[in-house]
Amino acid sequence: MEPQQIAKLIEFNDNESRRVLFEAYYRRTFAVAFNILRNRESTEDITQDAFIKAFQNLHQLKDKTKFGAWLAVIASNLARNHLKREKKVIYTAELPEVKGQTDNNDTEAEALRALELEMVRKAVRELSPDHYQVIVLQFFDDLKIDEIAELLKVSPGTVKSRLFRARQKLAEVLELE
Amino acid sequence: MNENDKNQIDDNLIRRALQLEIESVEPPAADKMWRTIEARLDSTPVPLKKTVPVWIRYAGLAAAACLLLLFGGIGLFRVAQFASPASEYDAAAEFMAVDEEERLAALDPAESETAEEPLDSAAGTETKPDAPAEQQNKETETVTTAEGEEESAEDQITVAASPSAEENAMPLWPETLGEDYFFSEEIFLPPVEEEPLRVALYSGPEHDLLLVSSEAVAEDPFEFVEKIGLQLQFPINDIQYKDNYLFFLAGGYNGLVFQHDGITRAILAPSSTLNKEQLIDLAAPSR
Repeated sequence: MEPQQIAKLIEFNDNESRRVLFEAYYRRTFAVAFNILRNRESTEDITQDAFIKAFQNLHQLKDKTKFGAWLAVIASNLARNHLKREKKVIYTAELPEVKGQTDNNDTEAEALRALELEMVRKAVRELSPDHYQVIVLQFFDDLKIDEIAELLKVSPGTVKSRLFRARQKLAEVLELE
Repeated sequence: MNENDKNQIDDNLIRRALQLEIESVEPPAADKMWRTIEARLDSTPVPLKKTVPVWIRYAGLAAAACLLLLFGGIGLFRVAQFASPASEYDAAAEFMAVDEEERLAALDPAESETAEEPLDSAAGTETKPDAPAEQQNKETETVTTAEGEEESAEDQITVAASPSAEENAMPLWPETLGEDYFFSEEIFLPPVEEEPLRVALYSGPEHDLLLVSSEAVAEDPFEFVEKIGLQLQFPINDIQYKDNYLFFLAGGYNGLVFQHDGITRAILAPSSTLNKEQLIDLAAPSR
């Protein structure tokens, strides 16, 4: 969806606009929460809560084009808080099946790359919610450090530190494998 | 594959892995969830924007002003308490000059010539208690006029402000590395050994650097590199000693070990960004 289109929908903020926004961001918001919670029931509740909070607080979103990233932050914060309340962290249950991998591993290089990719995915699943959050915002939403800091309401230094540690964790898992 | 490509692939791998992780999750039917959200939105009143009472804002301002006055007062007191001997000398010299003029005016010319010596020697000894005897004598001879006093004061300032060995030392975290990298924050890592390393992040125009500093004096560079590997949990490869510098590769980073003022330090840069010569430039003493 084009940034201007998102901004217009947010300005309207009527039922139809919300539905369009929901359909555009439903899948990824659910996935972000699921990758933290690893539980479908909880994820459904959290996704609903995230959308409701987002629609009720749209006036707080400064840059309308960052709706997706903002929603991801709300969902991941809710998921993290849910984990804290439940006092448990589930990183390994209900891992999704690997999809989208290349089947034509006809060369050694491709096979190696697929293996590396799988290892990074595994490493991503082991990240803490805080680290997962910054990795998603940087590598999925392509946000800059300052933008991430503003969304998370932390200093750019904290974002850098979290990114550094997240990358360190990923490198660690790759190295162990 | 060059180092640049290698670093690029790392980012792309993470990006691709995240994309797959997100795409691989199958959410439940959107319609059902939308109906629930719609119903909840209709039933939940939109929260009103919280208004902050005006008096709270003023209370905050008043508290801030009080703190400012308190800390400002403490700061001024400390500045006054630890004022340099040179500034004390300036003040005393100024005071003495005024006093001397008044006294000279009260005396006739003949008496003023004889009165000059004790007055001058008083100015020289009282205001420069820390100066060597020889220097004090010299100033006693020169501080005979207002102009002479100014010259002496300048001498004193130069001595007091002359850079000591400590001032020349590279600070633990210099404000900048080279011209482009600015100190961002110190990163606290869990200690792996008895003498942990200290690590700081420096922000650059495109990439960040790490500056690692040893807590031990004159630590062996090779041991230091090993420690970096342990502390940062990076595999260390390709250690090379060249032109008095120790180069190494740590994870995806180019590293350079150098020593300054007996402290062993290392700069780590993403391997695609800086070559060895640029790392050496960054290792040059800065503040």
